[in-house]
Amino acid sequence: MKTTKLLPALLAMALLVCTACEARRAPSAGTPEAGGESAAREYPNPRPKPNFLLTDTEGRPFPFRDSTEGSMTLLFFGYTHCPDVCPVHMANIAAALHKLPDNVARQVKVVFVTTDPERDTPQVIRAWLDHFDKRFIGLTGTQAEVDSAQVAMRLPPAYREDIPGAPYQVGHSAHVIAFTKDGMARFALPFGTRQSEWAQEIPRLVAYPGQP
Amino acid sequence: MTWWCAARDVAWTWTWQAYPGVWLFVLGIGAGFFLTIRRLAPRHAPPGQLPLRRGEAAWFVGGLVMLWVATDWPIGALGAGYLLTVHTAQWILYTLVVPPLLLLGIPAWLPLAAAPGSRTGRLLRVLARPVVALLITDAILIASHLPPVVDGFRRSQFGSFTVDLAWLVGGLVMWWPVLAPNPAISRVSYPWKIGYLFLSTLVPIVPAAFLTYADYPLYALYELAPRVNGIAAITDQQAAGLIMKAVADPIIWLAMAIVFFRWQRVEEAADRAERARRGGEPSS
Repeated sequence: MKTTKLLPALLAMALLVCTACEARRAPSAGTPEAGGESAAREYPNPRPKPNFLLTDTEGRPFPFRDSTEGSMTLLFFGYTHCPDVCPVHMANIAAALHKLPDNVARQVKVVFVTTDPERDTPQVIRAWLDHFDKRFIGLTGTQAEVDSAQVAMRLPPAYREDIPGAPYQVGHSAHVIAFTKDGMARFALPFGTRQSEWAQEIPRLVAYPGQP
Repeated sequence: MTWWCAARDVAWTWTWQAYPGVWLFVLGIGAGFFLTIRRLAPRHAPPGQLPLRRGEAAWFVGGLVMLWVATDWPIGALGAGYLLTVHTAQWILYTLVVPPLLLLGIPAWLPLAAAPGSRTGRLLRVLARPVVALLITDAILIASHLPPVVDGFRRSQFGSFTVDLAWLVGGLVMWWPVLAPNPAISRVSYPWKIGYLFLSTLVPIVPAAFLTYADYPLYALYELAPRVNGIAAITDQQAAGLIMKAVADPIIWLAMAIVFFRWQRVEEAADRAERARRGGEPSS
């Protein structure tokens, strides 16, 4: 068999091995890859954490700033009937947290605020979040409270989309806002951030402004 | 217009969807095969014999049905954009189930219709060499499982069609040295066929191992796709890796067993013939 015939097969195999090795290597927390391209988009003007008041899934008041003080906080506005973005975001953050060392994961608070308080009762939110991670915090409130929380984060309030013959959907912001421990919203992580990227970003965000 | 199953950024629903390109593809292969038989049989089929036996026609139609099942909704749509396990099941159907059925449906005289010196004739003989077939099959397997290929190709209908077609071609090439219907095309001996089939199970270990043991999902397409029945992306990937070996290998082991028993039957028949010949000879 000529070398020219063998070459494409060997090349393809080498490519797969390299790609797969990369996929295995990337997730390790605190690897020296910290200088690589980041999935997080930095806000040009970091904003302080607002102290909007909502209710957690146990029915207790949850002042956002006070309750998350000192933790790296990931804030996401979504709804449990969401068919695509919300479950993928939550699943990917949870998967990354489960793989990270406990001392890093403990410094992270993931806060999910429903944009659909009509259907998302505290029980519904809790059951949905528990499917991903029991540590995730779920918040709800009246529609006005939820809307004003989004406005406080300078996000357009979510809006209801009626679909003929199907349950309504809710249009909402698709990115996760990351607050560093100093209480500033510094980064947004868009939909499409992969588990391996979360595993790389979370230690960076926890250690911000230093290196993990 | 949607003509072929490709990834879509909408939640999965069990609402049937039409993929006319799939129907045309399957019908086109069927029509092409039966028209070829009809056109070539008068000149090439052995006289006094049906150009296509019922059993052969049944194998071929069975292959077409499996091809349709693997390509059309729901398997085609789920595999193209939602679940890696279904994508892997499709790969198994395309390479290990459909090709042997189609090849078993080809009458022995048909490949000989291509003159040995013609381009088709040469190609059929070259592809019947196990080393060539194995290299092509494994190259298609590896290339079609590279993350950039899966993430890129499965997003467009044409790209998805290309992957499906490559799998089918790869499967036909893989089975050709074993199932070529005429010894004039493939002279691979029975023990070689068994060895060749065993070798064909080795390279899939590479993607299967990466799928099973990777810490994170390898393919953005399946990781970021709307979830189906809440199946986590990494669970889906691990299941895909297991299926690639746990389902695919037994199919090949079955084929190895069939080849072995055929070999045994042929040897026994030869022994019987030899004994009969000796028994008929006058003793010295």
